[in-house]
Amino acid sequence: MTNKTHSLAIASLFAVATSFSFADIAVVVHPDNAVTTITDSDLSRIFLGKTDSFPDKSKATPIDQKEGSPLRDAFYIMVTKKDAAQLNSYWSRLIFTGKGTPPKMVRNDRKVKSLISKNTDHIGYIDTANVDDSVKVIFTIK
Amino acid sequence: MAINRLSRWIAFSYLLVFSLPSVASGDLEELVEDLEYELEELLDQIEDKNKRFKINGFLSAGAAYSDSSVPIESTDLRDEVNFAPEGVLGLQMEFKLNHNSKVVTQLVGRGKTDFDIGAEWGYFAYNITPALTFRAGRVRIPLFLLSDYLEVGYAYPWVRPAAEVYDLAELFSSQDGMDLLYNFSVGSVDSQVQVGAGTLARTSPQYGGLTFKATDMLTAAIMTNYKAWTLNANFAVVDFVADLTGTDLGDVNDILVANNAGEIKFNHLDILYYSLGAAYDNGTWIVQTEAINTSYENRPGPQIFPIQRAHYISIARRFNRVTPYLLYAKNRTVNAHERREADAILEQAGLSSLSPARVILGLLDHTQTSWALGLNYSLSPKAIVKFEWKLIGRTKGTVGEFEDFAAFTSILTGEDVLDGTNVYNLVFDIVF
Repeated sequence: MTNKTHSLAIASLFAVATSFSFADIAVVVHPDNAVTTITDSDLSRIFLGKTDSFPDKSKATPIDQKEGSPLRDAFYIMVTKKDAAQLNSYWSRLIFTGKGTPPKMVRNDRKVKSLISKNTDHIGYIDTANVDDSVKVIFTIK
Repeated sequence: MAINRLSRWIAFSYLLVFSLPSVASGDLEELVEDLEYELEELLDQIEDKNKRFKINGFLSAGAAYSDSSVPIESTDLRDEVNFAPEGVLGLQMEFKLNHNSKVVTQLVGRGKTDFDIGAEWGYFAYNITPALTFRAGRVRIPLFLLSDYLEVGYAYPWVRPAAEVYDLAELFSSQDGMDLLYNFSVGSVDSQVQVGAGTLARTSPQYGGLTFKATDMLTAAIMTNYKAWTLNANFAVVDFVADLTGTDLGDVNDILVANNAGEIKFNHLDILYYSLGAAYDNGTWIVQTEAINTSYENRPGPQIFPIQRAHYISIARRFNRVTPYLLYAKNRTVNAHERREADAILEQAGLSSLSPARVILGLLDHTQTSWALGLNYSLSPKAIVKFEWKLIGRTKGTVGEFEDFAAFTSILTGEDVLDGTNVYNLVFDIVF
């Protein structure tokens, strides 16, 4: 399992904005996916629907966690610099113009892993404590 | 299918309950995990079925007050508290036909028209490839940067986009036709190109006493994103046909023709719209600017239509839930001299400066600036309340954003009643 760890300096900037604590977040893909690492900028583009490809041009389908989950709020603040309200504002520009649809949302880490283990183009994020052999970590948010 | 799974799950639960005493604790954990898995699969199936049909909505409600007795054109706002101009309700329904196609409809009701619900949208979309989408039906016209979501107050920081720019787009909000959306990336730069063709959805709106229709509309827009930056360029050409019978502009035309000054072109007049914009949003600072130009291809003939140039620039700063902002906008017409030539002919024909024909010519001139200082507060991830104070000013001798025949004649007679109008807004914007 390739695991490239990135420390994000912005984490401390947003620590005040997030009123919850969370474990490290692992960005995961199918073990057979050729992608071994990704930048926060490319992650942001994929989860904001700006691109539907990994950096190697292969298809990328993001899987999101449910609205209101602390893990989701932390992920978006770290990766896209948007809190839940800003994210809703961003997607409302696309939903109400028919120009974009937010990623599919699932209930928990187990469901993220379950979907990714069956689809080589899927990408999601889970608590690092729940990482197992069914997925491959390509980015870690501390 | 879901029913089958449900009955399996009930049977599984039954077995679990009645076999509990004989199951070791390790097996029990495994059994519970299996049960949870089965339940989640079942819920997924139900959710997936529901996901074929989606409803989203937006709502704006609030109050506004202007300290001028002269109404403001786009909102009919004057010196009394008015709740209607801020009211908008939109409901969007999307039904997925299959993996590649869907039908979307958006119903919008506006306070200024007593919330009469109308179909702003209704189209069929088909993904030819993952990057290329074809849409046919009633679609929004991407005239300027924010035209697509002009009424979704939650999508932008201000109470509403700058009227000096966006009132120019008010007539052309949606078209019956088709468009193509193409997404592409070059490195980390992501772009979307949109091209469309159609006819104006509203066939005979009344505007300045004119009944008109836009028979052909061609639109093209490109939007490019790179990190916090967004750039856009939009272009549209509208083939405009107007019926002048019985209007003041019809009288102007009759006099010009009688004096051998030529005929004003009202049939198949091409109106051209250009817009260039840039936005920067790094999560903390939001800076946005846009400049637009509207002109007419109406030669030969007297040039009475205004060429308008408008722009705005805005800066906002987020402090957690609070976002103060400043918005400056200006709109001006740049070819007043051409209308003065026509006006000179009317004067020679013996019309007084207060005759309707000469007044209507003068009404075509606009110069207006506005400053808006506002603050929005995020009540929840789906609701914002916004407060705004706006100061509207104009150059003397033009009506700017205001409307009222009496106001215009008061300008002509030297009584300027429009100097420095203050407008106050309180608006709630919600998405659901």
